[in-house]
Amino acid sequence: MSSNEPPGGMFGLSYDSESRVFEALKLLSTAIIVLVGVWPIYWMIQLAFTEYETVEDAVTVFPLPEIFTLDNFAVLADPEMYTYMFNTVVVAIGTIVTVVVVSLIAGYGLARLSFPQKENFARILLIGYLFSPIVIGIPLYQIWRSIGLLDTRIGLIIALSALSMPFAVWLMWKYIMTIPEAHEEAAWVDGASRWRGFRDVVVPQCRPAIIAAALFAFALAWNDFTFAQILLPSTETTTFAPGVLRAMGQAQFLPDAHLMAISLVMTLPPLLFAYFMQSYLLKGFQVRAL
Amino acid sequence: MAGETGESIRSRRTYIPWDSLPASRETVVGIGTVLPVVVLYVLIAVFPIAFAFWASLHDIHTLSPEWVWIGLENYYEVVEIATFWGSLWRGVVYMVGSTLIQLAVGLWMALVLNRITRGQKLLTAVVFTAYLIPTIIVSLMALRVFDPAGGVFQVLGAGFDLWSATEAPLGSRTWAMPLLILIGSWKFSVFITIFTLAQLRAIPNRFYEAAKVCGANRWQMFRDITLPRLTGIILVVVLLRSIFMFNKFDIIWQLTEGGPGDATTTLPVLAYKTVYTDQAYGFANAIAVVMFLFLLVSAIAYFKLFNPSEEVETTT
Amino acid sequence: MPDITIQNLTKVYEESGDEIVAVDDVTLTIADGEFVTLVGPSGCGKTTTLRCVAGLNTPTSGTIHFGERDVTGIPVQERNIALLFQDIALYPHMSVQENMAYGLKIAGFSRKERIARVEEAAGLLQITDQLEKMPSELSGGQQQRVALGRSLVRDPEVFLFDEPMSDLDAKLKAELRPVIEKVTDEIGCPTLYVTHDQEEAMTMSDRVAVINDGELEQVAPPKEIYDEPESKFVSQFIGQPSTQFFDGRVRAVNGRGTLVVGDYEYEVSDGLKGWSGDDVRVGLRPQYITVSDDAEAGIPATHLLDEPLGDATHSFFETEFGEVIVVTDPDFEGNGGEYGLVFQSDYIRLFDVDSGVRIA
Repeated sequence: MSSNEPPGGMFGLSYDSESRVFEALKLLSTAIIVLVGVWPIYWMIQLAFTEYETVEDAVTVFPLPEIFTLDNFAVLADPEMYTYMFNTVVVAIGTIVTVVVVSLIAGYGLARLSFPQKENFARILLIGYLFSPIVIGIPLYQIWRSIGLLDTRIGLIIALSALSMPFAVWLMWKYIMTIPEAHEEAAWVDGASRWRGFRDVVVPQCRPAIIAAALFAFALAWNDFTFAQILLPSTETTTFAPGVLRAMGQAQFLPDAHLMAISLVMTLPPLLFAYFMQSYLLKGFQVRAL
Repeated sequence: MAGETGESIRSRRTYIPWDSLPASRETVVGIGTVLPVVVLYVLIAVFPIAFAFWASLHDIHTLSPEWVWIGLENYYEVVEIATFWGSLWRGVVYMVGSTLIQLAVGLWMALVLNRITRGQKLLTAVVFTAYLIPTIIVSLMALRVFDPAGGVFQVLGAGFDLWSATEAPLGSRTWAMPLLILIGSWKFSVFITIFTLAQLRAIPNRFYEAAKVCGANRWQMFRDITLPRLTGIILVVVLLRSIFMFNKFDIIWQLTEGGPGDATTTLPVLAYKTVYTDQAYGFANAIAVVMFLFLLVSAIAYFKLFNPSEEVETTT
Repeated sequence: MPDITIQNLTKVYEESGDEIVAVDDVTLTIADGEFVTLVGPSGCGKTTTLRCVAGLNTPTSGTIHFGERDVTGIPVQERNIALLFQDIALYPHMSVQENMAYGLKIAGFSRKERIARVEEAAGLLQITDQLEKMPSELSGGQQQRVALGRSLVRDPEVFLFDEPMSDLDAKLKAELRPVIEKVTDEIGCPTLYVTHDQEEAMTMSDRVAVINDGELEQVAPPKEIYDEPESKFVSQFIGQPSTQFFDGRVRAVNGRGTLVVGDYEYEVSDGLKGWSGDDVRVGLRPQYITVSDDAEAGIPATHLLDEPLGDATHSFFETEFGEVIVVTDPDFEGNGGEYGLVFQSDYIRLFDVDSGVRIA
């Protein structure tokens, strides 16, 4: 395929200098990624520790000792903000549990059992990627209202779980197919029922896929604004994203530094997950789960 | 029919008369495993879309329960009003612009992350955080740094004469859309990075070693080994990103609410405004149905053209 | 403990509209305490047969009995069998101890009893010091011992092996064979061992069942299978290097059947009269062919190459019947010369040209 090309490295360089150029480019790229990736987060952190009166006056790059403060975090004690965050946590946990349980069982069925229309079912599942929160949310608003799920966290959990399904089910399906069937058969030989074999042998081995699906569901729930905005219209039940936006519109006193402080708190869980669980995440994504 | 023979064998724990059911036990259990997913889909997709279609045939005020049948009139209105076509056009600009930037940046980040040796874990975590961080926080940060009152990017941009020192760039007709595209790309490029990085890690090193033995340089290795391995996944993520960006509502609403004027009003924003600002619930549903059909048609066309499903179904 | 009776077992698969007969009317009985090996090439239906006995596959027709009990429709969980898998199938997320105790845990044994039983089995298998490890930390041979232990603790009614050693190297195989025999003796139940390796079949079994294309070719003790194969397939499949074949013809001379191969005649048994004038396939193990320096003394052969093994040499010759392998003296060096191949006529076996069935 490349026999016609002149020998040697790129741009006619020797392999050696090609390597040096490559290393330099890599270093430069890394620097840019760090700068662009970290910078906004750094900015959020430093503003969170800056006295709010000074934020709007001038740009400060470092939280100087004279304007350094922890007072911004007092906003966490605000009952309204506390409600929003609590609701977000409940919705996230509810979504994760629903998504993991439902997708594990469905993935197992797709991987191990044969039933009519199985392949078509899997394909139809992919249509789920087309579900736009706004397209679904507008009609769902009336439907939820008529069956009493409007303004309930359950209603939001159901909606967000459905949105995670195409990814989670495909992931579980493909992942379970990589587990040798003999493991399960060994359990059956040992006297385990199908359910017991699933529980004792398949589920523990699905850990990377479970974590990947859980992280994906978490990202969706933690991120969600549109569904919560439409399906949780009242202030008491709503989650962080729409809550804080409404608070900004209504509140007399809500300085940006306070918003940065609360944002920082909300950023910590994703940051920790991203650091400690990235290997599971990549392993999960490797099975071509789309 | 086979009930008599089955009974004696499994008498110990027979609660369900499997043998007298019309389908085999495996079929029943198999369908049972996917039933929860089906229920979720029916509840969250089939019902709402059917409901949206039904509602779109009525004239409904958002807050009043009265439905007046008007047939297809909402649809005639949809295709007639200029805001629809304008929103569609802006939505396409937003979708294409952000998807292209995300593809380039996401792919580049994946290649770099795959090759660096030191601090890989930390850097990967930082990059992943951008995706996991709630959109509202990205918006809050963006609003802060572009704020004329002490926003660092506003000051920097003013220094380069991009806008005046007192102007809010997110409120400017010239800058609102490009900035929305850039801010969205900061967050969502990582989506492409995650998927391509996972794929890159799965390429066995021996391919590169074999290529090196043949005297390939880095560009040739990228072109002949890396890229062919990535094309499938790239086609899929580009499709997904396009769909997601076309549907994007949250970040636009949070940053500009579709303004200034309608400079950043895309279809999702238009639909939302129609419900809550214009209080025209039936008309909003008509827009939603049109959006859904638009997505469906483009997705089918995309699958027909590029067939990313080959990638999807390699192991079925 | 009961014996295993397989009667008229047939398994048909449907694959994209085609019917594939994997197992065709197999009937086989394995007595209590007997070790029977089912051997055959890949795809011959041996694993399917075993999986039917285990209850992992459902037979299309035929029955399987454990003693008096008809187990044909009984799920695998209720058959009380032990099964060793080809890929070993230890639970990767459980320690060796937990792996071995899992079956007991399901059966509801107390923790104390589980530990006692596992330790007893581990002692017998010499893996007592491995109990705390995870399967991934063990070598292939040790993993196989753990898998054996997992079966041992449960005291099964029937012991099944599905090519358990096919992924191990030759030295480990030789090391594990006596362990397997020890364990099966210990349990003392009927054992069905499936393999494609004729050496395993020959060394461990009380009886060997050779299966080809879903049909049983012959069931007999190893020595008999080797010496008196009932078909060309069995003769070729069992023994290493495998039986060499030549085209021959039977001629009646003075009322006695005489075998003619090339220019040479061999006396064979009386029973051949009826075959006078027919073509036959002549099979002879390479050990029973002698190489003569005199090219006139036997079938003319051109030496191709030698494979010295130390205790013997495998020498390859080109003849009018194609390539022939002969087991020669360890010091033999052919040097590409011309030789004559002489048959030891006592060991000649004749097979029907079309059906491959043994004639004499």
